[in-house]
Amino acid sequence: MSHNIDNFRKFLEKKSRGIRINRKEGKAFWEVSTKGEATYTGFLEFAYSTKSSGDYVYLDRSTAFDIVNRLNWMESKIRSLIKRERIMILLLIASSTIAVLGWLT
Amino acid sequence: MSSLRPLVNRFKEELDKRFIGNESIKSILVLNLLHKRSTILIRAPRGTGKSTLMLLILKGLFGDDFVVISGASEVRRGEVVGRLHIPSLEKKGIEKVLWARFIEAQGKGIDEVNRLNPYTTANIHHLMQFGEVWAYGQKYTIGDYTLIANENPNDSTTFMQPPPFYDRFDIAVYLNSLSISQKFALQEFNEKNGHDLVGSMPHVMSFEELSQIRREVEETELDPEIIGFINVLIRDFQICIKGKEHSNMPLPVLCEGCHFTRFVCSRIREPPSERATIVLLQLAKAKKWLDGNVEEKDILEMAKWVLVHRTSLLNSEKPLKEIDELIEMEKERMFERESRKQWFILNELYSGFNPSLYRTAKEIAAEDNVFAEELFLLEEKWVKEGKISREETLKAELGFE
Repeated sequence: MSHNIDNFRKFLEKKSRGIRINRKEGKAFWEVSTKGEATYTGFLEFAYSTKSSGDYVYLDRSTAFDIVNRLNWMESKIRSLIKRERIMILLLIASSTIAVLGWLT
Repeated sequence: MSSLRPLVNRFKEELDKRFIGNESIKSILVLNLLHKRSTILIRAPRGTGKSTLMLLILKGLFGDDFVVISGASEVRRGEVVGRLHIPSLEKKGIEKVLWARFIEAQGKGIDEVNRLNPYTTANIHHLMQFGEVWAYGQKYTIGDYTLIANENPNDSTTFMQPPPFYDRFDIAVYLNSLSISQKFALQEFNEKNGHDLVGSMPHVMSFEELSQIRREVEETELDPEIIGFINVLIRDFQICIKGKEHSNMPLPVLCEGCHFTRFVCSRIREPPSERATIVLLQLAKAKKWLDGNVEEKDILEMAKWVLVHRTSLLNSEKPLKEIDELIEMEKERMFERESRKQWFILNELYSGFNPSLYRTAKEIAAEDNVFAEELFLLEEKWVKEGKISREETLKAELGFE
């Protein structure tokens, strides 16, 4: 990149005005400073910024796929947990019945 | 505030009074007259006023000191470029060239440019490209000028003028026929002015005043955000991640399997030249000079007239409608870019490599080919510096290595 990119950097810096970056445990977080109430709408800001977002949040396709994958994983996890919970309830009922019968006799 | 702005506003008012209808193109016409070597192409069917509009502009800027050549007649080299001064040749044996008035005049008009013979077109193309003309081995350097041409694209006797010739025109505007109320307004104006629309147009500014305006416009500084917006917009129309510019494979075959088919690039057969960027920058400066500010929405409105004649579209039946749709797509895309804060991430990456931000940038690049292109350049630098391996670059992941 030997060409002069001073004006390009000026453009990028102008576009970055009001955004501050923080790094914590190898992860980058950024904050959008806005006058009055926070009104940004990007999903990445919603996830990473510490400030509140606007009423509508938009997300790109790759992030949407990521979220769908996580939802699917969570749903399968919930299903397996429900199964375990039912087994535990059945075991509890069975053991309680045995205990009650033992007490009566 | 420049003391010359009222002159431009008066010129527009006088033009408005006489050229009724077609409101959307008048502002862009006026703005395009405010930079040096201004060229305009007016496209319209027969009888919609394209010659009248050309004459009104030339009269308003140059009074009676302008020259119009007609493509429909058999224009000769002597009328367009120059002819030999016979007495000098006979008496002294010197080849003295008498340059044509068309070459010398600051106001130039070409009626029905698509009927010009290829030889004359080549001369005018050279004039527009290099600012000079040649005849009998002698060169004439052209100063500042305004050139307005018109054509009826449906004309059956049309020559196929080469696309680079049309690319030399800063903007191309399309005229529509008049509505009923507009017809009434035109008839009334004609009644009051003795049916001499062009004759009634006053000479609004001198050439010195126009030159001063053009100097001031040239010196106007634009905000980096506006310059960036123009560069990104034109790049969107030019970019092809599959190398369309150097491929013999036609569209849409080339786009098969491409990740970016939902963008404007997939609907552009041949992209606009870099001149589109230059013209948009000039128009933005003119808007700022005249109105005190220029915004992104102004750039999108102006882009239509800058792109329509220098972009070869896949769907070319209705070029204006297609360009409108592409610009609408661009509006959404620019909004998405703002939401993603992608320029901020790129700025951070320019300041220094950060693995976490690089991962985010890779995700963004999958949604934006213009951003991807810039990331490729940074990746190249990081690979050389040993910060990342070539295998883990986005370019390698997308299979462009």
